Amino acid sequence: MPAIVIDIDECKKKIPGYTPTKATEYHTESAKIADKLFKNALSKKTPKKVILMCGGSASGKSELVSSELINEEAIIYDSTLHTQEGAKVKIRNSVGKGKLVEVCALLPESISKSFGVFLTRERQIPVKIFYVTHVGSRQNLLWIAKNFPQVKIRIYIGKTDKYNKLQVFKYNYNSQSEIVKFIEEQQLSESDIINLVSDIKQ
Amino acid sequence: MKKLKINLKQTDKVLAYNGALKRATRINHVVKYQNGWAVKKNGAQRVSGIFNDQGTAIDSASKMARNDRSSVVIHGRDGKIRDVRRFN
Repeated sequence: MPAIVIDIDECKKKIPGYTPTKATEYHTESAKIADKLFKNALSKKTPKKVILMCGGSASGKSELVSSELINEEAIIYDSTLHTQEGAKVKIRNSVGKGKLVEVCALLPESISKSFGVFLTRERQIPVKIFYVTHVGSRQNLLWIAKNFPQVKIRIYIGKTDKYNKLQVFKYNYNSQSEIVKFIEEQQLSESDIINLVSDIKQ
Repeated sequence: MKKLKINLKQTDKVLAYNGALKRATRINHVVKYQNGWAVKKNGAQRVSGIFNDQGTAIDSASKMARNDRSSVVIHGRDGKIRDVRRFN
């Protein structure tokens, strides 16, 4: 059975009047739709597993879901997971319904390439959102790793090949402490992100 | 730590992402250059045009971006991004 995918951006397309150039205006409404769909999916006996995607805008999360994770028997919530409150509610509700929770984080190796995709894709979102989601999702991932040891964390790294095409690598760790250490090393501040995307020599 | 390469299938989303990666190479940056302003493509070694004022540089970059369905990233004097214009 393929995964049940709940994707906030796909929910936007179902709202009358939606256009990609005004994607931000539809975010609150689409988030409500996604939460309703998630609640509904959680109320069912199967799947037993919940996958919460985590990563900044244009990291390649939906691409990984459509290609790889779609075959897992799970409810996949495809969003940036950049706020602590959002993560806490989703984990609590999933555990409350007896589900096993996993967080799949996709971290782009090159923030500036990710920014390029963010600027040239169809959906148009303010640049500030790019900074906020990349900072917040990394911070939140660390918070989850430290506070929810029962939540399994999968780390994926997005890269590009010599033809400038998306590649994804899964990093496997031997222990939770190794994961925490790795995530600590991946932390970036908003000014780090601004500096990375402003450096045009990259 | 072990790394495992995921063989991504060419789904519509993956193809769209790769298309955006390709278009991103055509992003034009407007940057401070010597006594004026320059337009530089993403990752290019050389500038593609030099202008006396920022406004003219932005107009030139916008014209190219419109043709390429790309974007213009406008940098301030300090090099930091101060605005983005999208033509995709």
